[in-house]
Amino acid sequence: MHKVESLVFFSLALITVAGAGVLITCTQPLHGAFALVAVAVGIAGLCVLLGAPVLAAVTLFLMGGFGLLCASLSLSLRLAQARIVHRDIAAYLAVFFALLLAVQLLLYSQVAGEMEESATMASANAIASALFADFLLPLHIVILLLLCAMVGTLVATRAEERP
Amino acid sequence: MPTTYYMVLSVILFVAGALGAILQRNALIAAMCIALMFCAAALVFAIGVRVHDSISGQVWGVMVLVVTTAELCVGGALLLALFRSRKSLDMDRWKRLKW
Repeated sequence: MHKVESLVFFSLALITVAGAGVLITCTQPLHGAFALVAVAVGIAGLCVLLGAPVLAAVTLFLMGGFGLLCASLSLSLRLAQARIVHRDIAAYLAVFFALLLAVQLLLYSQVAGEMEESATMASANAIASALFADFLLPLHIVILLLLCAMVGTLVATRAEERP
Repeated sequence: MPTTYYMVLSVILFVAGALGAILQRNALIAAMCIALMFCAAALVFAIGVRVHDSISGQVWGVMVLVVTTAELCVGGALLLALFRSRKSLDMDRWKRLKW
């Protein structure tokens, strides 16, 4: 089982580091956005491996969502020019990563049974209870900050009114 | 699997994000590199969950990620406004703070 966990770790680390490398060297924001999504997937998998499933879900939704937001932003700003990776290379890369993910899912199904018995695996119910009992003040501060961020985003992106 | 490996990976990701944020000229890619640095921070919170066997690490990690993403979205909105006025996201062209 230890070998399986090591294999899952190193494959997730490979995805994460490769995504980070693509992100810091790319010239097109669209490529960087999809690299950020790959990094988010890798980090989420590593969080699950560490026994933090809620943190994994939040990382995947928020950082992956931010990556997709950047992708849509770059597309809408017409920053993604026609200089895309060659079609054959892109197809080979897609098949490679699809096979890698499939292997990981198969391996993870073996690891998951042991992880459910681990004492470190906190349930979402326990985290929700802690949020509304021990962390009530930080939660309300975060909610207020989110409200301010939403208003600020709406104001900043508002188009200028025509006379 | 020792947590040292996870820590080394998070350090690699953080340094890569910092290098990208400093060296990239495109503001949108620089923002994504900052997001990469916070992904590394989330991994450190997950390491804390395993080491200390507590849910506090997950709770604080969730809060930090939520706040980070909100700030990044505000930054994206500011970039959009800047792109409308400057027609470019090249940070080398932004030499003045007022526009």
